[in-house]
Amino acid sequence: MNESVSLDFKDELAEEEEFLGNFFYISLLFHLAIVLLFYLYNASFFKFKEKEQSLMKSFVRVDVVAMPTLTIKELKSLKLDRSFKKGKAKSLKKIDQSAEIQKAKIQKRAPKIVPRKVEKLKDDFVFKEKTKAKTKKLNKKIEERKIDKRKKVENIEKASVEEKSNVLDLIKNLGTKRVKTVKRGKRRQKVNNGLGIKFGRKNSKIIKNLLIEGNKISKGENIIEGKTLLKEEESLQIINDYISRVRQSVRSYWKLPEYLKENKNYRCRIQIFISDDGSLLSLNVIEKSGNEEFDKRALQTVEMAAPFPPVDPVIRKRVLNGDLILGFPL
Amino acid sequence: MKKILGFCLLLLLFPLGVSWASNGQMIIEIGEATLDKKKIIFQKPYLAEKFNVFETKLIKEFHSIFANDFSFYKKSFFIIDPENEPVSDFDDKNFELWTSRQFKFITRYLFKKNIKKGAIDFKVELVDTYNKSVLISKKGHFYSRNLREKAHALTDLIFEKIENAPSIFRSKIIFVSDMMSKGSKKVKELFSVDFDGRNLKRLTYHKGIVISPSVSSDGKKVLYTLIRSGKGRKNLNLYSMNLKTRRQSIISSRKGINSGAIFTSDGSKIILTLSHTGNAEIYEVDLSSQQLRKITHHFGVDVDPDLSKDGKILTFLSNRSGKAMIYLADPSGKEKSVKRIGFVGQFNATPRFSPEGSEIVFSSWMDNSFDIFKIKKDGSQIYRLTKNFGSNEEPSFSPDGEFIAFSSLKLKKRSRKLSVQNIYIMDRDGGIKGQITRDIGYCTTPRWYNPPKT
Repeated sequence: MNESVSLDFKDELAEEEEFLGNFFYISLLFHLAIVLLFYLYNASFFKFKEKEQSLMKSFVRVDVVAMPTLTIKELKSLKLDRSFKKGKAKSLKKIDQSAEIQKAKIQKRAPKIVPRKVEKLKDDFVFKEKTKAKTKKLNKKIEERKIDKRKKVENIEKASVEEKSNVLDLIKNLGTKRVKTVKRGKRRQKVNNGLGIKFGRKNSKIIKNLLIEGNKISKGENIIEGKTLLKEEESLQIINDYISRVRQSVRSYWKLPEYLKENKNYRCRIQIFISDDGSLLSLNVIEKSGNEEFDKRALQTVEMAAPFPPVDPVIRKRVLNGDLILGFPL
Repeated sequence: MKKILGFCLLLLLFPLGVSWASNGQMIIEIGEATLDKKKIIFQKPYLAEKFNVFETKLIKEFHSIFANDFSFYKKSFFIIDPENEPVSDFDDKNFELWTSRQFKFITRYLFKKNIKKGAIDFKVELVDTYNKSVLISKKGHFYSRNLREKAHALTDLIFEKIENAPSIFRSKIIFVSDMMSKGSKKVKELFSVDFDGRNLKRLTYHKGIVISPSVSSDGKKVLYTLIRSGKGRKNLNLYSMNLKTRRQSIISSRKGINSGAIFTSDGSKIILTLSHTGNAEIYEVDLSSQQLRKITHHFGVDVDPDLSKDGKILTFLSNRSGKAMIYLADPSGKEKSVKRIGFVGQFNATPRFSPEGSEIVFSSWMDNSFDIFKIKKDGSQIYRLTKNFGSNEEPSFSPDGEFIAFSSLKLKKRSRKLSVQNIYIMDRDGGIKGQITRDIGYCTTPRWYNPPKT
C-alpha cells in the first residue's frame, strides 16, 4: 500500500516535470518564433545599428566693438599664423623644464641647509630638566644622543619646509620672471610678415589689442544640428577643435572648376580614418555625388590635405574608427 | 534547464548590447569649393603678311590689351606669357600641347592689312581646347584711334563667354581733377578715364569747382554740383550732362546745398541733399515734373545718399546721433524706416552700395587719416580694406562689384608738391590692383560706370 502511494507520488512528480518541460519548450519556441518574426520583418534587426550621424557646421562669432584696425589681408594672415601657438608651447615647456631643474638643485642642496638653533635650545633645556637621572653620565650620553637624533629630525623637517617654500617661491616667481628664450626669442621677434605683426610674444599683444580695440574674433562653437555644445563637455570640445582643424586644412585644397561648381546638387561624403600621428590611414566614399569627376576631386582634396594634425588620446578611438565623415560641400 | 534559460536571456539582450556599443559619426561640413583658376592662353599674333614698324606696334598694343585686361581677374584666371609659345598656323587644330597642360581656353589672332580703309583687319577666336570647338570668332578692323576700344570690347565678349558674367573691360571712371587750376585760382573739372587708366578725357569746361559726380545706371547722363568761381554769392547748384552730346542743363539751384545727387535706377528721378529749408535733408526730385518730395525728416544733417541697384534701400550719412554715422532708409520717405547700421568710428563718409546691394563701402577717419571699410547692409561684419596707404576716401564699386575705385592722398617729402592725390583700384577684399591717374593734379570722387554699348 505504502509502495503504491509512493509510486503514485513519483508518477505525479514525473508528470508535473514533464508538463513543466513541455511548457518551457512551448515558451521557448514561442519566444524564438517572435525573434524569428522580428528577423524576417526587419533583416537589420541583428545587424549593427547604423551609427548616429551628426552634422558639424562651423561658425565664427565676430563682435565688433570698435572700428577694425586690421585689414582683411591681415586678418587672414593672423588666422594662418600657427607659430604663435608653437612658440607658446615651447616657452611653456621651457618653464616646466627650468622648474624641474631648480627643484632638483634644491633637493641636492637641502641637507646642507643649517637650521636655526634658538627655539631648539629652549626645548633642549626643558627636556634636560625633566630628565634628571641618577646615572648622570650615562643618561647624559643617552640624552645627548637622543637630542642629536631629535635635532637631526627637526633639521631635516625644517630643511624640507624651507625646500617646499623655496619651490613655491620659485613657481610663483616663474609667473613674473621673464623666461629667457635667448637667441630663438630674438629671432622670432625679428620675423615679420610685412604687416607689422610679429610672431611669438608680440602676437599675443596684438591679439590682446584686437580684443580691446575691435575685430573681436572669438573662436565660435561648432554647432551640432542646431545645438551648441556645452563647454564643460571636454571630450566634445577636443573633438570640436580637432574637427575645425581638419576642416580648415581640407578646405584650403577644396577647389572646383566652374562647370562642377555651378551644380549645387552634387554632394559627396568621405569617411576618413586617421592614425595617432594624424596620417591618413584610409578613406572611403560613403555617398557618391553622381559625378565621377566631382568624387575624384573630393578624394584628391582629402589626400592632398593629409597628414592632419596629431590626434588627442581622448578622441583617438573615434578618429581611428572612422567617426569623421567629410561632407563635400555638406 | 538553467543553460536554456541563460541562452534565452542572452538571445533577448543581444540587440540591446549592439545599440549601446554604437557611437555617433560626425559629418564635417567642408563647404563650397573655391574656384579653380581657369587657364587661358593669348596666343602670339599670326601675321598673314608683312607689316611696317608702326603697324606692328599697333598690333602689339592691340594684342597686349587682352592679357592686361584679364590680369585684373587673376583670382579666376591663370594667364601665361604668350611670347614663349609657338604659333605655326592660325587654324591649328592640334590642342594636345594645351590640354596636357590643362589650358582649356586659347585665344588666337590673325592680322591682315586693309589697304582700302587704311586699317588693320583682325580675326580673333576663342577656342575650347577640351571640346575642340570655336566659342567666339570675330572679324573686324581697327585704326590707331579706336584700337583700345575694339580690343576692350573683344576681351569683354571673351570674358562673358567664359564666365557668363559681365566684366569691367568696357567700364570707365569719372572723377574730378584740379589740373586746370592756375596759381591761387582753384578750378576743378570733370574727367573720364578707362578702367585701366588710359584714354583720359575732359568732360566739363566750367572753370569753377565741380564736386560729387554721379552717373545714371544706363551710363548716359552724369549729375554733378558746381560752385561757380568769381564774385558774389557762391551757391552749390546741381547740373546734368549728357555724356555723348556733352550738353549740360541745370537741375536744381535752390538756396544753399544742391549736391550729392544720384539717379534712381530708372533714371526718371534723382535723390539729393537740399538745404533750402535751413537744414540739410534728403529729397527726391521728379525730373519731368520737378516735384519735390522729402525723404528724411530730422533736425540732424543728412547727406551723401546712395541707392541700392533695385532702388529699395537708401543709405546716407547723418549726424543725428552726434557723430557722422551710416543709416539706411526706405526711399519712399518714412522716417520710421530709418535704421542706423554704423555704430563705430570717429567720422564716417561716402557710403556706397555694392551693385548686388549686400554691402556698403565707406571711408572712416582713423589714425589721423581716412581709410576705407566695408559693412554688410544689416550692419554686421565691418572689414577694413585699406591701411598704411595714405588717406583713402570716396570709394566706388565697379559695375560687376569685384573692384573698388578710391582716391588716395599721399604726402611727399622730397617734392615740390607736398602731397599728391590719385585714383586707385583695389579688389573688394582690399588688394590694391593699380593706380589709375598719374600727374594730373589732385584727383577726387571717382565714380565707376559702364557706358552704353555702341
